[in-house]
Amino acid sequence: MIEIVSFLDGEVLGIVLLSFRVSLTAIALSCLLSLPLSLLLALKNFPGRRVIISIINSLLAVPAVAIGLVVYLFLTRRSPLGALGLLYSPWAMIIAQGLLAIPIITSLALAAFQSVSRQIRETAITLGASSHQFILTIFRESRYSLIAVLIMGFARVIGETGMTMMVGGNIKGSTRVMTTAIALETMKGNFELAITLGIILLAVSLLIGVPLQLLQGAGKR
Amino acid sequence: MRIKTEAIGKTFNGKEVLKNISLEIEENRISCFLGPNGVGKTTLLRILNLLERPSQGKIYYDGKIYQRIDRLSLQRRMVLVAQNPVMFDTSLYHNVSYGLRVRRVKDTKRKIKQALEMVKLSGMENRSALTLSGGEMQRAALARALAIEPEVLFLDEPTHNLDPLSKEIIEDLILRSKAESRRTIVLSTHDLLQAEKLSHKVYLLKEGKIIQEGKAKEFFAFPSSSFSAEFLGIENLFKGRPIQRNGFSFLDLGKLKIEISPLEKIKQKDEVYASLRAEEILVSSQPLVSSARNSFQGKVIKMKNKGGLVELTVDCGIPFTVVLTKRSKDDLNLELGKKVYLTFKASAVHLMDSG
Repeated sequence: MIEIVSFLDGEVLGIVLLSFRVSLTAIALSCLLSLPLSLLLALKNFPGRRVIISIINSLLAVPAVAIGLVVYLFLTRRSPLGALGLLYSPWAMIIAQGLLAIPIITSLALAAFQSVSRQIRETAITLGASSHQFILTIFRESRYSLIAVLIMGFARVIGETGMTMMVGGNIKGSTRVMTTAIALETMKGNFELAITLGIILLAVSLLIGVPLQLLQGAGKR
Repeated sequence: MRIKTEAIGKTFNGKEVLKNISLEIEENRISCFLGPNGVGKTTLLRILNLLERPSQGKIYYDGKIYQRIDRLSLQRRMVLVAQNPVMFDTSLYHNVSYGLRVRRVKDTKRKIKQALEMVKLSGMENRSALTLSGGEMQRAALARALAIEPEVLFLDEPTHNLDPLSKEIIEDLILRSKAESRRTIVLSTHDLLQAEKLSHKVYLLKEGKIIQEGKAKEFFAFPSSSFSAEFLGIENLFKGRPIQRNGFSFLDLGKLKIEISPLEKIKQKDEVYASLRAEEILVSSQPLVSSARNSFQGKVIKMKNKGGLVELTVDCGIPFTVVLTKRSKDDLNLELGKKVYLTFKASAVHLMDSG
C-alpha cells in the first residue's frame, strides 16, 4: 500500500492531469461541432437531413484504431499537415479523440434534443421566446440527457488506448496518458505503476458513473 | 388586437382540413369555434397563433397582413393554451414566469402571484410542474398564459377531460372575462352548451368549413338541419316557455309539458331552448313506475338502422328521437305505428341560457 501511494508522485500526477486535459479538450472541441449540428438535425427539416443522420450513425461503428490511422496519415511528416509537427504531441491525441467523440455526441445529443417534444417547443414559441431563448429552452429541457451524453463521450475517449498510443506515441512526460501508461507498464512487468493508474482510471469511470445514475434517476421523474 | 382572415385554407399531406375560412375576431369579445373532434378547430387556432402557416389565404392583425409584421413582436401579443398543455421541466413558479422572463418584464413576482391566485394554485409555486395532475396542469398553463396579460388569448378545448373543480375554475375565469369584456379570447369546444355559456359569438365548423355563425342558441332555431343530430350528438331540440307550478319547473312546448330540473328563477316571458339526448330516453311497451318525472305515450312513426343501433322517431304530440339496440327493439316487438311509452328524468333536459 505504501509502495503504491508513493507512486502518486509528480510523474503519476502528470499522467493523470494530461489524460484529463486531453480528453476534456477533445470533448469540448467536438461539442462545438456536434451540438449545433444535432440541434439543427433535431429542429429543422431540410433536404439531406436523413443522409447526414445515416452517415453519423455509420460513423459510430468506425473502430477507433482506424481513426488513429487516418489521423496518423494526415499528421505524419510527409503529409500536407506534417509541417505543423503535431504528430506525437497532445494535440494529435486531442484531434483523434475529438474525431472519435463527434459521431457519438452528435448521435446521442440528437436523441436528447428530439426527446424535447413538439408541444414543449411550441409552448416556448407561443409564450413569446425569441430564437435564442428558444434554443436555451431546448437545452434546459434536455439538460439531464445532455450531461449524460457528455459523460458518456468523455468516458469513451479517456479510456481509449490503441488510437491514443498511435498518434501520441506514449512519450514519457509529454504524451503519456493513463491508458497508454498502463499498457506499457503492464508489458514491462511494472505492475505497481500499472495498478496505481488502473485504480485511478477505474475510480474515474466509477465516479462519473455516479452522477450519470443520479441524472437518469432525476430525468425519469 | 383585431384579427381578420380572408379565405384561409390548410392542407396536410393532400388532405384539406380547413377550407375558405373568412372571419373577423371581435376585439375584447369571446369567440368560440364549435364542432366535434377533427373538424379543424385546433388547426385554425394554431394558424391564428402563427404556429402553423395557412396553405392559402391571408391573415390580418390590426389591419396589417401578417407577413409584414415582425413575427416575434406579434407573437408576444397573443398566446395559445393547448388542449393538453405541457409543462417545462422546472417548478410551477418558473413555468408561470416563462413568458415574463422572455419579455424581460419587471415585477414578475406580483404578476405570478396574481396569475396563480386566479387559477387557485397559490402555495404550490415550488412544486415540480411535471408532478401536477391533469386539471392542475391545465390551470397552470392558463396561469402561465394569463401572467403575460396577452391581448389575445387562444384556448383549445380549455375544459376537455377535466375534473369538475378545475372545469369550474376555468369556466368562471372565462365568464368573468366575458362580463368584463376586456380581453379578446378565442376558444374551441365540442360542447354546444359550453359554447353558448362562455362566448359572445360562435362559429360552427363542419369538415373544415364554417357553416354557421352567430349565437349558439340561434342554432337551435333550425332543429331540422342535420347538423344538430349528427354533429352535436343532440337529437332532441326544443323551444319552449319555462313555467313554475307547485314548486316544480316545467317546459311548455305547446302540445306537451315536460318537467325539468328546478329553476332558481324564471322569467315568465322568456323562451328557452332545451336539448335531450336520445340515449337518455327509455322505451317501454307498458307505462313504467319509476322515479323519472317524464313519461309520455306515443306512436312509432319512423325506424332507422344505425349500425348495431336503431333510431326511432316517436310522436308524442311532438316528435322525440330515441336510440336503442337491435335486441331491445326485437324484445319490445317494435314496428311502425306501435304505441310505446317514453320515460326520461327531468335532469336529462338541458336548458340553454338565454342571457
